Amino acid sequence: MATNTYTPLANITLGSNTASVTFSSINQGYRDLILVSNFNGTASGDVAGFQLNGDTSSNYSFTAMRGNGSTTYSGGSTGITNGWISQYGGFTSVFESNTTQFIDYSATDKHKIAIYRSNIADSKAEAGTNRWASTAAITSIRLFTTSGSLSAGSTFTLYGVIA
Amino acid sequence: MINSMARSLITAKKYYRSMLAGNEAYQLPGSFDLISSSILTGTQTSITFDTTGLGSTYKHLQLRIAIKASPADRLYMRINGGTSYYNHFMYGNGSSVGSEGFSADGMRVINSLNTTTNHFDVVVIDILDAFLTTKNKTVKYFASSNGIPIVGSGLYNSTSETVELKFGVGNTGFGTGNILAGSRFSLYGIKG
Repeated sequence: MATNTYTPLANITLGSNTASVTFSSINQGYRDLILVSNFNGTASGDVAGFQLNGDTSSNYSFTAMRGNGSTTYSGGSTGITNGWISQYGGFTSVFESNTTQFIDYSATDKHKIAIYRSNIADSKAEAGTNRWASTAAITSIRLFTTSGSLSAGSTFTLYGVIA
Repeated sequence: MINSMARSLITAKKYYRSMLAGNEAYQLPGSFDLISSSILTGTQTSITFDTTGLGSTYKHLQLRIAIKASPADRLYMRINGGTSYYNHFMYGNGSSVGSEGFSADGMRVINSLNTTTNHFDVVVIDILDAFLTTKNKTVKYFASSNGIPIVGSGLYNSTSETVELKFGVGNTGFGTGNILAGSRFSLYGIKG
């Protein structure tokens, strides 16, 4: 029987404000992971990050860019303790639309690259890339905000793509 | 006709409610299909996908790529062997946002490859209406290029249906740099 190429693996919908969400025991039968999210945070101006496989060490780096309708901005850091799926602009009253792709997540010969597109209709368009300096396959993804909580009604769906 | 009255050792009977018992669940055919994938175990100087005839099934194409190369120049794509393309992309380098636009003999889908061990650069490329003979071929892509996010587009001024996609590493244009083991090139078709 043929295996579907693009398969939903797990879905999280928040019924209440939540500090963080975690996708764990991720199926290793795919090549890429695509995280499709529509979320908000309780703290205005807050941003959203991720950690992989429970790694809280300084093994992450990122570079991102955004436009807010009047200015552009780019920033980045190396040797930090998390990656980002949304780094600039912060939460507003409008839910954020976000797609983050973890390329070759199950490969064990590469560091893990996560590219993301993040949009908040009334404040920003953003794109970024992260690198987790580990060749381990990704088995868990934890998402969190840096000060407040993820808002009730936020949805996170994880898809697997075969190769 | 009864062949034997010998005692049968078959005493256990199992009944299943489903005809699929013991088999995987039936999966409806999807609209996003893996067509071909190359995961290199050695060095190659190019990667080629033959897309002839795929237009009867698919409307769009997507490529998902992770690459390391030596020398660590740039990744180019050619459609149908064409040698004239318009390229435009924007990037954020950690301190400012910039953009570039230029013509080249290939579509530059990764602007700069890195040399760090285990750090592969990645790109997701979409070719919409890849097989229509009423449209020039436009491409959009999103890449992580040596740690920098790049959002870009390319134009191949031909209405021919896409029959071949070829990748090569070069500096100012399509070249024959070495694409290293571990690199992965996957082609997907999208129905519509």
